Amino acid sequence: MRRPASQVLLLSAAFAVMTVALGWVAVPAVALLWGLVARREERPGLVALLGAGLGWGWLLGWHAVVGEVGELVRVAGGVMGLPGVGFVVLTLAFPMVIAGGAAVVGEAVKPK
Amino acid sequence: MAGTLYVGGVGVGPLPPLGPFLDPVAGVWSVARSATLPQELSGSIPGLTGEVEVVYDRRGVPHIWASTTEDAVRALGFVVARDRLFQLELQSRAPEGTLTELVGSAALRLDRRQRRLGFLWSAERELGQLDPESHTAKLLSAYSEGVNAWIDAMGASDLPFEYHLLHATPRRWELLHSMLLNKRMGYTLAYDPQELWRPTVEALVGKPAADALFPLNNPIVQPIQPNASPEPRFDFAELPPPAEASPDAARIAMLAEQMLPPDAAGRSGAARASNNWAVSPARTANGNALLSNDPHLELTLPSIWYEAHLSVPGQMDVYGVTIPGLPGVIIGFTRNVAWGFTNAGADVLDFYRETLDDDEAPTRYLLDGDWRELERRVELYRDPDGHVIATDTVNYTHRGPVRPTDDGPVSMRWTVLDQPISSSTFADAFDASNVEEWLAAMASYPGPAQNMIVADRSGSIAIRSTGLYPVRPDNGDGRVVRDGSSSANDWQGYWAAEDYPGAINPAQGFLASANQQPFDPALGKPYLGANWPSPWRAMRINQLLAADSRVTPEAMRLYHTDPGNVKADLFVPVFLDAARGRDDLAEARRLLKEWDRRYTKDNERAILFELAMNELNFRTFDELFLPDGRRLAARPGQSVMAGLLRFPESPWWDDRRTTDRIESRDDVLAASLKAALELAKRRYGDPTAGGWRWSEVRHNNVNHILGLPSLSRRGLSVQGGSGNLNPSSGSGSFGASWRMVVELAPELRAWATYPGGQSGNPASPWYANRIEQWVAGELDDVLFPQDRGDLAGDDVAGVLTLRAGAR
Repeated sequence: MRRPASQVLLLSAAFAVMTVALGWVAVPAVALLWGLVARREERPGLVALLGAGLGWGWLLGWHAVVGEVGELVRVAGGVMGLPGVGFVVLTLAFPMVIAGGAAVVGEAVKPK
Repeated sequence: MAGTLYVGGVGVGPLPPLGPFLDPVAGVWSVARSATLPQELSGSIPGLTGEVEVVYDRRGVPHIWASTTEDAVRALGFVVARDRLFQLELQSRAPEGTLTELVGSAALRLDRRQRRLGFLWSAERELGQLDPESHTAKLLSAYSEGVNAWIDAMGASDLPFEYHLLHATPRRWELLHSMLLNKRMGYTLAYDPQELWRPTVEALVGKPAADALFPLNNPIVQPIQPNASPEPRFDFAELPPPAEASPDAARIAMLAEQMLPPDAAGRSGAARASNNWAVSPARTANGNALLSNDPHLELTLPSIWYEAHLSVPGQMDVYGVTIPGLPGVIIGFTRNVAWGFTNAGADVLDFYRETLDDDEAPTRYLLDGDWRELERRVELYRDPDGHVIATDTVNYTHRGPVRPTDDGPVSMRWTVLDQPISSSTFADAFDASNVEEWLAAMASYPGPAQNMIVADRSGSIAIRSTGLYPVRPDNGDGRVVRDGSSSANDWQGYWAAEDYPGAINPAQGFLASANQQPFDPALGKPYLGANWPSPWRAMRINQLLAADSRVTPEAMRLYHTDPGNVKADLFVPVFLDAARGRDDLAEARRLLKEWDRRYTKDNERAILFELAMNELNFRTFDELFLPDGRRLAARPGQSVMAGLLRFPESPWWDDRRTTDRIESRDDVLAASLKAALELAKRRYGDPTAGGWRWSEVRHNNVNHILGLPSLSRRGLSVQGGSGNLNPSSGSGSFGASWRMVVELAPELRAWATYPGGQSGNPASPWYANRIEQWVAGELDDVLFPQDRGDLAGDDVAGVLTLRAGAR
């Protein structure tokens, strides 16, 4: 059994790569798959939740390096009635909720 | 999780689907990646005949180096789309009446109004008549190819922010869209349906009084075409007394309100306040002609203007501002000539009472005893998914669209629906080497009607009020609704260019326009319009230019935000006189007397005058209150009020709301000042506590084109108030949309700015980078390189190379 931290890291890479390839729909797909293959004691929901947040976090970090993230965050947050940091939190929370839920579903439906 | 997935995939309420919106690769985050300009870029446009190099300078202005005019215009379309794609779509959809297809049913009312004005009908007719081999058609096609080449080349990160928000994709650009945009400008500048609100005023105070309150000629005469007098002339006459209000006034007012656009009250010039002026070499410090222009329009982000330089060796070398969607520079300069515009405000719109064959479902209208077929258009309004959400039927006579009124159906004839797009007129004028050639080339300028000022390197200056001016039967008044059953009432053509108001190299050594009446009424010229704006700004410009025989470009810059106010100079003394000797007005009088009559940002007394003028207006013209008692049917110009001051016992001074006494002029002035002081204290606190500072009480607002607060810049403190060259009034969302000073030296020099930035990307450093400079009244040095090689080093922000691509 791998350490949970390693699992989160590996899964975050999968979320990041698959989001680049397929877009946001990759999040529930990867998480569902993870739920199907992970063991219950590995707490697939929590790992997927953290992995998705970290995976999208990598992508946001990439934007911060190559783009003008500061102003975008202020503007996009303002449109949604949020402070800039709120928009970052929303962006990270969105895949976390979906991934956590999808992994739990995957874990629940896999053949025992 | 299911709920989050639903919100992610479908969206809730006004929110876009969160999945694609928040996607850090292809969603709104990607906008951050395209916010800055790469050093090297390349692209392709079908139809290019040679390579085009675009050099972005340090201000984000593209300098386009092409081998043909059409290639330059293709490249212009490409770079405008790159920076302003969403604006292009929004601005063309608005007159087209298809905003519902972008934003849904929230825009239905707006779309209905636009379609009923006939823009789409007119643009489609114009497109059908366009000769594909004409210069205009070629320019429009080239521009369209450039825009669409950018749309085809766009990556995920190039999709503008607003499309992510609306979960929409850009539509392709068509020739029709440029034509629609041209008509949209006509709506902005030349839609003033006085015929629709005048009946309300006449019902309230009678026709003779209405005619005097909204007169044919402004009583303060300082025309655009200089007359013999360097000073303004005051043609004040006593106003006829107000008649008793008609019992029909309420009904008429309600009907007028239904037909008028919501911003109708501000369309008569109060909100728009453009200025232009030019000075002959004999009156400038450097011995070169100088020209300035600051067109005042609604301030938006992105700006209505986009700055560009188009260079085609041997054919065209023009710099200035274009309107995204129109294939050319509108205001600017070449190596030899500089020009600018203010709105003419001429009456170019008439209504005709039509006789239809059926009240409910008409198919024909009566003309000269014969029934003619109505042109019937069924307008369909669709949502973003393409579903029809509403339908409408609009009938057209040979004059234009028909609308119902209380007195029966009326049709509208409007030059904006007649005028073709003027791209080739401008392109031809760019060849002009002097003022005379420029005026000759622009003789065919179709509109919207403008006061065009021009200066050249040889030192000539000229001005002309230009556009299509209707010739009405018997030189008739355009303010009346005519009988549509007779073709004898139709327009009989347009004025000849040589009859337009204008002047070349006047003896006074300068020329200026500020939307005021173009001709001196004493010349007895045919009807051109009515209810002209009070000429406070024109008077101030003339005052400044007449007082300075060595004008510099720096002085011209300072004039843009000049704090002096002619209106205050005229009205403050009468307020002070009315308050003299009255104990209850001692404080108000002292505070007003302390005012230096300048609208500087730190001024703490201007607000008292502003409020007093507002009170004076309501108290004097209480006869014009609508039956609801809250609003005036229309506001007479303040030059009419200035004239009324000469008649202290006029019945207009009586406040009908007080039944126990008859007020005189001084009673109303005193009461207005007293009320203003009370209001100022209530709103802004003690006059010495800092709350009355002009920068605290009056602001400019530059709103995003969708009105999104986080993408807007609001609450900007500016120098200027009502009647200033830089007026700040009303909602504060109107102002100097472009400021330009040009010195027609042997090596032309120019300075300019606008409140915004070149990029429409809100994450870009060039989105709103010029606003601070604009607020301060500063201008940038404009780079106008002769050759590509003249732009180098720190002046270059990026280079885009465009090559021919496959169609």
